[in-house]
Amino acid sequence: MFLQFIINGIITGVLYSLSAIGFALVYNTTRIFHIAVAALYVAGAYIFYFAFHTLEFPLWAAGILALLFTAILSILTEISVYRPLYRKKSSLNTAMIASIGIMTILINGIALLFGNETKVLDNSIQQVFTFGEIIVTLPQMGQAIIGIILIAALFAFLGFSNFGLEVRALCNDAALFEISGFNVKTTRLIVFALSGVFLAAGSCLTAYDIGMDPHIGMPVLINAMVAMIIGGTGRIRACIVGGLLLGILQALVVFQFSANWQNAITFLVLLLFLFFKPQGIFGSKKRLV
Amino acid sequence: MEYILHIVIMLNIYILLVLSANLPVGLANLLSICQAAFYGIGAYFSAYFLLQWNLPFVVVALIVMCLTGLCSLVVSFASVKLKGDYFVLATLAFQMIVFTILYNWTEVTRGPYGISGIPSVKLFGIISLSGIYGYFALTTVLSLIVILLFGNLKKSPFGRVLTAIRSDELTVLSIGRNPARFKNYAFFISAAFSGLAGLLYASYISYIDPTSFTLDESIFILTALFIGGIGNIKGPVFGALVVVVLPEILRFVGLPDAMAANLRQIIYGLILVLLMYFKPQGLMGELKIKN
Amino acid sequence: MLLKIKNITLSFAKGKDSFKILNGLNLDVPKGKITALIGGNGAGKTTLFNIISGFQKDFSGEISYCHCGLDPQPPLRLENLRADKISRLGIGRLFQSKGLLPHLTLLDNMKLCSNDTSGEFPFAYLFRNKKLLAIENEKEMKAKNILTQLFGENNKYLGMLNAMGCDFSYGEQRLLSLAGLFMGNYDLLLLDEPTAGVNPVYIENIKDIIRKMVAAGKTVLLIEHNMLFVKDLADIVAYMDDGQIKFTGTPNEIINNQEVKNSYLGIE
Repeated sequence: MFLQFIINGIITGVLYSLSAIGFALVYNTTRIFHIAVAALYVAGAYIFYFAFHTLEFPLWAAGILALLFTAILSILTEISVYRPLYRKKSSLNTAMIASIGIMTILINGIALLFGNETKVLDNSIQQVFTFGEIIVTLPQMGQAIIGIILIAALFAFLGFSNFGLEVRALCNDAALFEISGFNVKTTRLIVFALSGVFLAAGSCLTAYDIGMDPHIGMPVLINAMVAMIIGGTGRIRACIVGGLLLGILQALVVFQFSANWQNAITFLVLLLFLFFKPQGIFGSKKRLV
Repeated sequence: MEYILHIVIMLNIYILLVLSANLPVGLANLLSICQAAFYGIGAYFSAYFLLQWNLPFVVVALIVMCLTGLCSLVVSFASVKLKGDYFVLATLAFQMIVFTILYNWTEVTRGPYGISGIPSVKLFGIISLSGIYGYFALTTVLSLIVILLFGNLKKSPFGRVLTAIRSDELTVLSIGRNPARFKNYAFFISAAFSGLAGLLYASYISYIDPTSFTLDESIFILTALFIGGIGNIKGPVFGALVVVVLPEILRFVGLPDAMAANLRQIIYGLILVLLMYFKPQGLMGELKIKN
Repeated sequence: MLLKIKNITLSFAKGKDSFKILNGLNLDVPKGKITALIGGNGAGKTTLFNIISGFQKDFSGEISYCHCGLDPQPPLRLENLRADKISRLGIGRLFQSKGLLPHLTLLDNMKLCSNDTSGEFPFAYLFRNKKLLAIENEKEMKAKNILTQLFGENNKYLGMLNAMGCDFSYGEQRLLSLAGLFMGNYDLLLLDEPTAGVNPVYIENIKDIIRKMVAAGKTVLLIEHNMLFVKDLADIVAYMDDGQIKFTGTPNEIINNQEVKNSYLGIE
């Protein structure tokens, strides 16, 4: 039983890692508290649903379409809202409130189009795999495998290109970054596109398993932020460790108490980290004054 | 007529909420997303005191305000320890924890079923304030009092220190003021008046359940604040007016109810995004939002 | 001695990367004099100021402050006090490259610098409005007096009391921040690069203001890279390098010191 919970936790953790990466990519580059992530996540799931269910695309094509369109949507938020604000040199809190606005618009737009009720993609009984005592369903297998492939791909991309370094440089000083001959606009666009891809991946994988409604975004966003804080801001690998730890922790809470208290415990952990180790597991202390 | 009175009562309650959010968020620039948590804590404390004890309104109000204010110490502690986004996250965590407790601690809060049959408040201990007219009078008087109280706050020496904290905490420390103390005051007052709003709401509607005090409600209050504008009195009052009256206007236009809720939210979202670009200080505000 | 700093050691980043910003630093600041602290970038000057004014903790060593009024008192230890308490003991500070508070008027900036905190409790005006009004008026008078003393009768700042902090030029903001330090009854003033980024005319003004501070019985400890300014103004110069005070002496002694010449001033 215990092992089963751990495995479930790890698989949930992979999903958290995906959305945490989606949030952290933007946050680490632009320092925008990108709340609209919640809406992009929902949008990804609904594009997937629309392509698979209404247009009757094959599953893989629907998935790719969802990734693509969420990336485009994410780029649109940058072009239409964040970039103009950035040009006006607005404060980050202004961007965050605008982000709340984007989230409200998108989520309620989706609710207008698709309705507020829960949608299910596939309600047939899922095939299961048994390894000794442990049972893993087919969607869970898919979540783990696709999730890991995507994360590996991101690492390969960051490892074989200078992009990771560029992103960190941009975060430190955008003006200096531009003077050094890089293009702030393009780098930000790539970051937003990547963020959209990871959000959509997380949401499609989740939605295929448990369905969706327009309001699933906020809890996911919150878990993603918690995962990012636990790992430590500023690094992508921290998101993965944070996501996995959070997934396992929540599974253990369910195992030990009940699912009702999952959120409360998650946030207690968040508060503990914020107060006692705000730099996260991987971060280091910085000079303050 | 009663319909209009109901709207005015809700408007008065939201004026309390938005004005009290303006104190930490607008003046001291401590972006806290947990106003609804204090609103809820106030409402649940009021439900307990109104159901179990037979106390006059002023006494209940004072008790509820003090208790809710004490709960704010958690948040002000966080505001001292944490900066920027980390503080926002901590308040979000606080909001979620309060909601989870209200929802899951069924022995005390009756969880998702909510608490019903909350009696009306008793003015001066005898006259039970019943009916919509009584509440109209009570909430209007209270919101006017609060507007007067908060109106002077920004110009007062206390407001001066808060505005200084907004700009630069190190400078405030270096001139011998402890920002932590002033943050405590600001959050205490803010939470206490949100608690008062909770009391009015609980006793007026006579039924409360956790879904009125969610994160979405907190975001809604902030939306009202930012639409109206931060830093002065006009702004928050106007913001409350917009968010309370706009849905009613939409209803008159004749949209189906199912669509109206979503459409209204979309309008708020649009207003927020446009305001942040064109007028980041809000429609009537004085101060710009800063980091 | 007003301030005695003994054997201060501070290192950032614990573990194998650790390096010492301050390494057994000793410094005495005599009362009623102007002491200038010079040294290369990263020598730890501002860090030392942060330690004295209580913003930087986690260091080892002793700081004792002779909070001498008329009757001799035992020196106070500052290591474990919070920054605002240290300020209230009479140690004021001008930050490096910070001006006035941008969203407050000049008058409010000045009033805020006062050491009288009465009326700052929320809703205090509900209970003792008359008394508070009197105190506010008193503060305003004091601010006007200070501005008149520093910048002469009918200077332009008297007419600009209600202008926002951010409406003043940077140089003016530095001048007015210095003026604000007269509002509090400070005994020791820590001035972090008062002339950085300020044009020559204002530098003369700043010199004047600092001299007036000393004339008013205050002690000044300042960080400065402008050697002409230091030479003109300072009674004692301390040269800081490698987290220690390497030499102390009169301005002339320091300028003629071979090591200071080589490693700081860059003259052969």
